[in-house]
Amino acid sequence: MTKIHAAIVADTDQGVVGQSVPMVDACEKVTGKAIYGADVEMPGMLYGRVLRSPHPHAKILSIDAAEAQRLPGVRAVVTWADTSGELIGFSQYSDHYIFAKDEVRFVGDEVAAVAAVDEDTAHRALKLIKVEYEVLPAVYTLDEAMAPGAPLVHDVTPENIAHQITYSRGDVDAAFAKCDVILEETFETSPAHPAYIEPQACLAAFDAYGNADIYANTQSPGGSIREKTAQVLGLPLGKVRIHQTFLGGGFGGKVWQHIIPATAVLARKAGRPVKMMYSRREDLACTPSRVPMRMKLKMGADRTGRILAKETLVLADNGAYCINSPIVIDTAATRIENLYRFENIRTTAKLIYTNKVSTGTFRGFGNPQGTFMVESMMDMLAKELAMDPAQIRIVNAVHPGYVTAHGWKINSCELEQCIHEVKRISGWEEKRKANRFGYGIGMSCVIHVNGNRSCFPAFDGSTAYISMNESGEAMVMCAEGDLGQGASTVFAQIAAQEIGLPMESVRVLRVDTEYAGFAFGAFASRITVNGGNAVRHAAAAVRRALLETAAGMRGGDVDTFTIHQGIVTDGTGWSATVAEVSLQYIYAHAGTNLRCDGFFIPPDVVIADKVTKYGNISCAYSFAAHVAEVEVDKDTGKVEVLNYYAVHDAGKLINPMLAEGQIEGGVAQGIGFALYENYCYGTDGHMLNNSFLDYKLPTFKDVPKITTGFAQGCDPVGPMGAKGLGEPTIVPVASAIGNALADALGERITQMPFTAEKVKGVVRRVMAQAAKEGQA
Amino acid sequence: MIEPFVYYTPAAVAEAVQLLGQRSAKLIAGGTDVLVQMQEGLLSPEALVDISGIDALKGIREETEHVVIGAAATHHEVMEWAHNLPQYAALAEASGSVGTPQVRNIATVAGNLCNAVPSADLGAPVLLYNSSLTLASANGSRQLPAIEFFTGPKKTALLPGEMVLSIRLTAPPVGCASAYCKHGPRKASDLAMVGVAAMVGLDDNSAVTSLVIGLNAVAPTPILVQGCEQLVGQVMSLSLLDRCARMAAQQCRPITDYRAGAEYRRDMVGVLTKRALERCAAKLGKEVREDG
Amino acid sequence: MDERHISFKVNGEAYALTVATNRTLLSLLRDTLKLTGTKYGCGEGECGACTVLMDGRPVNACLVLAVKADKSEILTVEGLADGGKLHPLQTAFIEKGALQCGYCTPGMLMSAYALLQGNHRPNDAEIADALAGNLCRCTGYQKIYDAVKEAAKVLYTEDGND
Repeated sequence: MTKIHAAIVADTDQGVVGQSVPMVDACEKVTGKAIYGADVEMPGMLYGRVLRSPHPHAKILSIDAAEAQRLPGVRAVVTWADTSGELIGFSQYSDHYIFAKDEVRFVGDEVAAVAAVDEDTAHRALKLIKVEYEVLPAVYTLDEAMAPGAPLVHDVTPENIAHQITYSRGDVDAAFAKCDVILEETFETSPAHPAYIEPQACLAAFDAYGNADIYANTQSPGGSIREKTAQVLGLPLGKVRIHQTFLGGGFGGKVWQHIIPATAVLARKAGRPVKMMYSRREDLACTPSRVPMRMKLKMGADRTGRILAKETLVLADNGAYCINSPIVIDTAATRIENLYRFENIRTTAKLIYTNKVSTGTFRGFGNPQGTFMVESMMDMLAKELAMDPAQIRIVNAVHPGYVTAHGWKINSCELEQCIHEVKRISGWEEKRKANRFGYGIGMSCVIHVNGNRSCFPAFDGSTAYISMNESGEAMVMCAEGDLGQGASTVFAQIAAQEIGLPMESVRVLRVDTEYAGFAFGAFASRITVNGGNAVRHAAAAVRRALLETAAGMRGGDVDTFTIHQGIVTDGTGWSATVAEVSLQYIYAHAGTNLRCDGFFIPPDVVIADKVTKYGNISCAYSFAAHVAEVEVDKDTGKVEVLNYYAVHDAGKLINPMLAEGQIEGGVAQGIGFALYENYCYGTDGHMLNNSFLDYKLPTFKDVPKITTGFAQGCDPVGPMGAKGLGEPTIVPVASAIGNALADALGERITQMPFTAEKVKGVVRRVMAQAAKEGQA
Repeated sequence: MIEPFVYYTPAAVAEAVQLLGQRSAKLIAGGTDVLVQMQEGLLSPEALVDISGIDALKGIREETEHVVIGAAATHHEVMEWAHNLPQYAALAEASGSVGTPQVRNIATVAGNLCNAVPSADLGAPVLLYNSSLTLASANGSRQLPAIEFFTGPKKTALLPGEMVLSIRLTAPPVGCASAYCKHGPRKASDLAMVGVAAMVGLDDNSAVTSLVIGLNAVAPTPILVQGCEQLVGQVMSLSLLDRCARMAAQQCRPITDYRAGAEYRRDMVGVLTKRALERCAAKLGKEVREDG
Repeated sequence: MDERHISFKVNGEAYALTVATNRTLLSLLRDTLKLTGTKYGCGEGECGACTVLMDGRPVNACLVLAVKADKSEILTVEGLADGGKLHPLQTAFIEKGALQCGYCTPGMLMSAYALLQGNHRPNDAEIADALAGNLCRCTGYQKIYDAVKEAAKVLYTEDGND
């Protein structure tokens, strides 16, 4: 670790870290006082709405907004011409505009936007904008898009291949030759929407000097969306200020939000603040879903279950534009190859453009897809080898000190402990004996990162500062922000413990890029390790400065002073409150508050090689083992998850209650993903199920009892031994349920989601086969 | 957005039918279906006539031979009323499966029928009771058998300017029980992929004294399974369940859409028919007998 | 544009005002009365984020016309706390970790409040029945069961009601 940080002195075995304290902002949330994206108001505020393409693929011949502009109450209509005109997107994959320039590529593509004095007027104005289209041929599926001579989604991209990687490790052909068993299967995952309950929302205003002032429910206030907004506005980055409001969930869907630059462009043209919130239908149909993938996998093992070789072809449906999908598919291909001691790998992954809504990030970032493929195959191999599925995982598990095929340096790792513990709490051995048609139990494991050095070439890490006010309260600002998962609480616990304050003396400020440092935000499960360490370093520096100030007040050797529960003592009976010491600091520094910065640079990480994908991308890795028990209704095919067990290695926990909550929520989302969440399209490229009536989220009645557990562990890099937990919770759920279902039916469904209709088809076939064999 | 409309809250039926006759007006009681359609721009009536304040249309009234469900009676009220009345359990179970608890507090049974989507949950249950609808317009009132009310997906026999005043159910013979079975992807808040309502009467020897089966979401309208009356006298047995399931599956006319395939729906009609009959028998304290 | 004069109470406070007939109760609460604790989630009565009590019954404010609030008593999340004292449900949600992002929480609290009015000792199945119209995407619901039961205990044993 870097040496410039103050020495970290607090005792990590006592105090508030490790305690299930309630969320620090829970009171605002239960009283309705928390201000979310759509709750922000400003004097003179207008309401914005977006005009979207009704066609899956068309040339824009003309846009005539004259009539809309004449409608009383309309203050601005904007199109591509009101932006800087630059292509935006994910680095070298920049392939779109915030409003279409001359071509639309999916039903819902942004064409124009209106700001008006009320929502109804904005809505009416949209209908008055005349857009002349020349409809072009469209492609909707991987097969259509990859067919020879298929219409191109982007003229400049041959074969509709947005991105492609191919790499290999070891000697795959020789390794396959040594295998005792080789299996091949194709797996498909469905698109699923993050479906945060609060749709995307934003309020944008401009000051008299042309600076943008934006309030948004974004999970990455200082990250790429701020940069993109500046780019679309043609402004230097420093002129775009983003305030993070409370977020009604994000789950990866609020990292990269078109609504932010779109609202800003409207506000600039209207010369007044503009608020915009998507409708639920708009949010479901027009913002990115998880990237759906078709994955062909060939895997071979020796008699002991040791995996010797793996060959994979991943095809992913990108939709119309690249948001973060290139790294999502890289993740789907590579990440799972670090869970086990794979040595011989050959992988090709292709990201294919189609005329559908862009796909992108949702909790897990490609890892649920890759994990579904490999963890299903692990069970298939176990069955073929007559092994316990838990055992084949243990045989192949990575361990501390192991360097994976991709160069990942496994540091703390309690994967085996997770497997043993989940077996114990689920009653695995006993329940596996059940062997009853219709009942099944299945396991799946996960490895996940704590930040990904490859996401942003310039740097990785995090920054925070803590300022002590006159009352001895620590004001913590960490630019990463809180997307509702409880980051603020974790930061507060770390700061309280490190400085020696009671929890109530710590306040975590909401992110405002004007005052916060530069940060990427909440994704890649990076907050606890990155943000947490930055806060911890800032807190350690504050503590040191408080001790020095106290030593100056009292006289004596600073090392004899200590702080506990907000009281500074020197061991002689003298004491002062932190408030007194903080105030003394202010007086002694001409009014300057005691303020210390902290930052964290993940040690020993590199940007993965662009071509080979080799390199240690994260400074810590999280693990888990999950077990699902299912019962199939043999008449209807409906799958019921009876019980669910999840044991995670998240290092030493900062807050067990919040950690359990992460698991329970991630598992519930995984159940929806596994059983029913999906996108249905009409033949004309319209999404048919773009409402909560037909896009099914698990309700209260659909989530079973989830039993959580934690491996005893401690990470050497994470703050106070902790690791991240946000994403790994959802990653293994679909494969655990899929494996349980295969156990229940004796036949595997390889295409998600496992709908009742699909399952019934298998039940019918299996029962018919059994009847035939019975007769024979 | 909801397009502007003139809003009327008549205090009496006479006033309501006058308003309905006068202009392009849409009637609402709970308004949950109509408002969603208006928000989506699928409906933009010039006027909304809200009948939820008309006392004569409120509540559920039990008469000697009939039960009258007022047009303003909510699903919640029907659930409360039919609680512990096994012969009306199909109604309570169907009402209890509509939308969410919040929706059931304002949405009405009559509204569910008038919406007339094939998946409407109350269609088949209402058909079990040889029900009729009391309709009224400025020209007077009429009784229409419920089976004739549904004319197609989202289509009813209501004439322009006409409204439903009440649903009049014939009280089933003593010793009957009913049930509603519904199939959707989740355990709550789903539209019916298939819905089956059944009513069964059994004598002391488990012989069928009456049998009615209705189906939702597997034809353009809710339908009654034909030929059930011929099964009166037979013993409630597994083979009888099979026979009923076959009849129901044969008579339904499901479609394939993004929610389910036609063949799967047909298959589920059979499954749910058996389950509904089994539940009826259980409510009567009788077991379905093994054959032979 | 048709308008109506209506009078009603929200959280015990009386209001008399004129509303356009095409406004929803959700819009009246949020945009006019600035009670933004009640949330928009879907606009179609599927998610429950806008749940308020109307004359004691939970309803979706997005599916109720504002004019229908005439002569009614509305309770929103802002009216749960008694002055500065949180309602036991609010306290239990905080202490049991029954919320994460908090966006569904106001609606969830209102449905739970209505449940506890009529059922002082709900079991898991009854809680699930009552809250099935409130979607939560964060918590997986587990800790909400705990919170509702805890609140029931606090509410109905301290004063000896049960």
